[in-house]
Parts: sequence; structure tokens; C-alpha cells
Amino acid sequence: MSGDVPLSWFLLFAASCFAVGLFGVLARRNAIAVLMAIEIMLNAANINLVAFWRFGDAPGPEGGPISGVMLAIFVITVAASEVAVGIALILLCYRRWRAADVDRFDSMAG
Amino acid sequence: MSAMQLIFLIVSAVGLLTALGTVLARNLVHAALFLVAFFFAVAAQFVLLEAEFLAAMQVLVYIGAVSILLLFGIMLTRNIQGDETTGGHWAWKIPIAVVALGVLGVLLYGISNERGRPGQQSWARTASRPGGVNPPVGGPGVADLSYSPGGRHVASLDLDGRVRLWTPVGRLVASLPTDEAAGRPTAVGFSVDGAIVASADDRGGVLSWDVAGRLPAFSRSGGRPGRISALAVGPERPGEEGGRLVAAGGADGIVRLWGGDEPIEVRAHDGPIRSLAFSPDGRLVTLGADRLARVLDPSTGGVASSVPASPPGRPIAASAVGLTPPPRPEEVSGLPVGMVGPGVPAPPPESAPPQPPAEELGPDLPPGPLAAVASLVSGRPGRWDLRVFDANDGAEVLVAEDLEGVPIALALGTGTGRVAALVAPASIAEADPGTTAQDAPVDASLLVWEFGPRADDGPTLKASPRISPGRAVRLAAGAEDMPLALAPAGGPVAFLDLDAGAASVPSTSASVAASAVADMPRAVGDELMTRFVVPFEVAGLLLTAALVGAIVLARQDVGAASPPIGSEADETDTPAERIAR
Repeated sequence: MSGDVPLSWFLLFAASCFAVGLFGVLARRNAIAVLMAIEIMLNAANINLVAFWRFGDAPGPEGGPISGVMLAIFVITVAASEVAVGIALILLCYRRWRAADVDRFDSMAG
Repeated sequence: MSAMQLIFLIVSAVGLLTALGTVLARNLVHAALFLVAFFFAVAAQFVLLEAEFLAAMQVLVYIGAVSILLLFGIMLTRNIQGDETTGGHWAWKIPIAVVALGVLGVLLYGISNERGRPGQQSWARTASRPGGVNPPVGGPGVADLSYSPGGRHVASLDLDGRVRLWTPVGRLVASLPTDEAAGRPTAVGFSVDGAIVASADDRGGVLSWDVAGRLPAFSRSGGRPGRISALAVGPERPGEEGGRLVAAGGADGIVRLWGGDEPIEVRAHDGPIRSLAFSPDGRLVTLGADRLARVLDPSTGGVASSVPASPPGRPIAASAVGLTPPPRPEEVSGLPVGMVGPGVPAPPPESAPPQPPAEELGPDLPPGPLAAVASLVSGRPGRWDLRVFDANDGAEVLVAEDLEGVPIALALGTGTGRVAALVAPASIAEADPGTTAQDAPVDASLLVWEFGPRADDGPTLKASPRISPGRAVRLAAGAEDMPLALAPAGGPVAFLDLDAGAASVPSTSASVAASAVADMPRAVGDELMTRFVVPFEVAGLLLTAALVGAIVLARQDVGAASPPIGSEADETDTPAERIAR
């Protein structure tokens, strides 16, 4: 049966992935690598959403049965559009400064 | 460790390693491919969480769109050397690692030290998943439950008005719709030979289906409205008009008896009718809350015999009426028939002759229908007696006295000597029944006595670990060796196999629901999971490896033929960029 993997295992996996993604966001200097690390963090959050949904209280007969999945779908949608916009921005910056390095995107610095 | 836990650990290890690879790989294309593998691992986690649709979305959106977009971005910035071109000192990453590890530590501490609200289980330790994420197959709840006399099927009458037929191992074989205009369904019952299953509603109507063909068989109407507590269909009556006899016993003590289209009413008991069954010779056995077991002659409606079901002053807590002899000649020859399961051939159709000769039944069982009664010992809360007796003459077959607990449901195996009782601990006898909800979980255990011809050394008793259904629970029992069917209040049907040990018996009401094999969408989810997770993951990893290999080979060719990509030499600047610079 499926019910024997405890909720905490999923949460621990998601927390570890989140930490890895956080490290990537801070440590990487290439903007696209930063985007990828952000994707890892968003996926970790998604796992949490779905895990809590699956292990949570049973929905009532008329209650929305897939609330956690809906939330995760929203996150996926937002992440996809974020990547599209992010890549466009990075490409523009690259054409302007010949670099995809977040440390060099500093024209707004004082 | 179960197979699911093993799969989870493998998937998690792959996910973590690929996430680390994404973050640490110097080559950005490699990082993107690691990210694809990570997305696959997350999709596999979604499948493990029974969110198959989300897993498909994950593959489509993340792997199909996001990764490709990222790869395009990498190619267009022509900077696949990653951080090398803009690299910093490695020591610069130490504080970052400290920050990430700190966040990880906080999260892990929070997850592993979660305590839960007062009186509730800690959520982080929850291992059981509630049923009903997919629409519950047991419907909004089960109104009644019945085992077919031959043991081939269990019928559940669900509150959505459907009669569902299950095999005793929990496979749904048919879902029979009732009439839209019918009232609230209240009782379900099989015919004596198991060929017909019928349901009764509270408006005085009865619908029936042919079990083999799953087609409507006949309907009866015009009965007195009221809550029907027990329903039975009689044997086939060749040559007589009106087809099979149908009897429905109500909470008003009246048996509605259809020999044809028009029902006759027999006031059989002074209290609610608890249980009711036809014997294969066509007589009707009723058991009422007035502590009487009666045998009625359906042709006249008269009472043929009447025996006390429990001693005076002992109210009946639960009761059941079962049939002996079984309509199963195979059993007399000693063959274990009736089991439907892996490795066991399906039993022959239930068109067995109605009554084998009495001498083949063994010395222990009387030929007549049996009645089982669990009666409370008055004045001593938490004590009860069990009596199984011949409904014709009151001859006792099994007596167990002064048992501890409060019986909340009783089931008599149709055909064989088996009686099962669901017993709550004695402590709920003191609790005020008004304050405890009917569907509140009760920590009950299941006791099973076997006293039939196969029980050589007298009655044997088996006990299950504790289970927690609500008080409004339905129980149905088949022959020995066959799982018991149990429907907690509002939950789907669960099948409990006592011989399989404690593992198959759920320990909480949530896991009664979760482990119900009966829950078909869940079963489909399990099937998907067990069949597709491993191929899915293997395919993803192979694909990833192939991609990495292809890119590495291609880069070696390019590297040999042209100057390194990303160097300033092969950049072509537009005039606008020159100006901007």
C-alpha cells in the first residue's frame, strides 16, 4: 500500500531541496544558474503543498478535493512565466553588457 | 521497510543528487540537464503522493517548456562555461554554505520536533492518508452490507443509492444504479441462492438485480413507508406466480412480504426488527428487539414458531441471522471453495442446489437457520453474552457468557459456523451515549468464533487487533478463511483478513479508509505507482545520461574545430551595442 511513507519524509526531502536551491541562488553568479536554483526552490515548495494536501484531513463530500494540487498548479504556472520573463531580461542584459553575471548587473547601484 | 519506502528513498536520493548537481556543475548545460533529472524526480514524488495529474503537468511544463527555455537562454548567452568566466574565489562560498545549512537546520529541526495540537497527532509523523482524495467509492457512506450466501460477493448499499458488488478481496465488480425516484436506501440483501441482490428504500420499494448479469431483475413497490432494517429475498419458486418472495423488516416491527406485486404486512415483533433471513425451504426467520426469534410461514403470514432469543431483561445489542445448511455442496466434500484470490480458482457459480441433505452437515450444526444474538447483561455495564441457536427450536449451538466489552455489531457467516462480533471496550458503556457521536471512532476489536464442522475441537476464538470504526458500523461475514467486510460510518468498505495477521488490519479509522482495498481510484493510483514509477524514473535517467553524453561529444567536436565559445573574439557587436559601450 501507499500509505506507509510518512509525511515527514516528504517534508525532509523538500527542505533539503530548498536548502540546496537557496545555496545555488546565493552562490551562483550566472543569472541563468540563479534561475535554475529558483526553480529548485519552487519545486521543493510544491512537494510540500502536495504532501500536506495528501496527508491532511479528508475533504468533505462537497469540499474541494484537490486544493493542494490546484495551489501547486498555480505555482507551476507562475514559475513558467517567471522563467520566460527572466530569460528575456537576461538576454537583454547580456546584449547590453556582454555578460550574464548577476554581479555585473549593477547599473542601478548608487 | 516496504517497497514504497524503498522507492521513495531512491527517488529522493536521485532528486537530491541532481539538485546538488544543478547547483554545483560548472558547465551550465550540465546544470540544466541535472535540472531536468531533478524535475523528473519531483514528478516521481508527485506520483508517490498520488497526484498523477500534477506529475504529468510537471513533465509537460517543467521538462517540456522551462528546461528548454533555460537551455535556449544558455545557448543564446553563449556562456556555457558557467561561472568560470566570471568566477570568484571559492572561499566566498563558505558564508553562503553556512547560510544554506542554517536554513536547512531550522527546517529540519521544525519538522522533526513538531508536536501537534493538544489532543491531536503530530502531523509530521502521520503515515496514514485519509481516503476520499479521489471521490470515495464507498459513496458518502455505506447504509448496509451483506455477504452473499455462497461467499462470492459482498454487496454494499451506499448512501448515493448505488448497490456495489465486491469480491471478498475487495475488487469492485459492479455498481448497480437505483431508481432516481427511489427513496433513501436502507437495506440490502441477497437471495438464498445468491443469484439476486436487492435493496429496499424507506418509501416501501424494493429493487433487485441479477448478480450474474448485473441486470435489473424485478422490483416491488407499495410497501408501508418506514425505515427498513433488514431485507431478504427468498428462493426461486418454480411454477408459482409472482416469482421470488421478498421480505423487508422495518423498525416498526412489521414485515412487508411480497409474494407478488401486492405486499402483505405481518406484524412480527413488538419492537424493531433486527435481522431477517429466508431459509432455503422458503420459511422466514425474523429476530426482533422484543427478544424473540420467529419463524414465519410466508404463504399464510402466520407464525410457525417463536423462541426466546435472549433471557428476560437482557436487551439485544446486536444480532444476526444466518443460513445453515449452506447452499454449497462443495464444502461438504471438504474442498475449500468460495475463496476468490490470487492462486485460488474462482468458485463455481452460485446456482447450487438449495439444500444438501442434513446428514452431510456434520454433527455440530442443526439443519435450520441459525440466529446469533449479543445481549447485554442488565445491571452490569460492559458485560455481554453471545448465543447462537437454531431459530426453529431454540437449541443452542454456541454460548459464550459474561464477555467483556460492548458489542456494536454482529455478523453470522452465511452457510458455515462462524460468528463475528465487533466489541468496543467496556469504558464506552459508562459514557453517555448522547455525548458521543455515532460516527466518532471507537477503539473496538473483532472477535470471531468458529464452531462449524471444520472446527474440530469445539468453538475456537480468534481476535483481531484493535480497529477504530465509528459506532454506526456494518459488519458482514462469510465462510471461514474469508475476509470480513466492515463498513465504518461514512467510510468505504474495508475487508479484514484475520489470518493474514495484524498488518492487514488497520489501526485507526483514517487508515481503515486508507487501506481499504475497496477504494478503487486509490487502487488505480497504487497500480499506476507500482507499475510506472520505476520505468518512469529509469527512462528519465537514461534520457538525461544520453543528453549529457551527446552534448559532451558535440562540444568536443566544436572545441577541436573552433576557438572556445564565449571568448570575446567571435562576438559580433551591433552598432547600437558599440554605441552603448
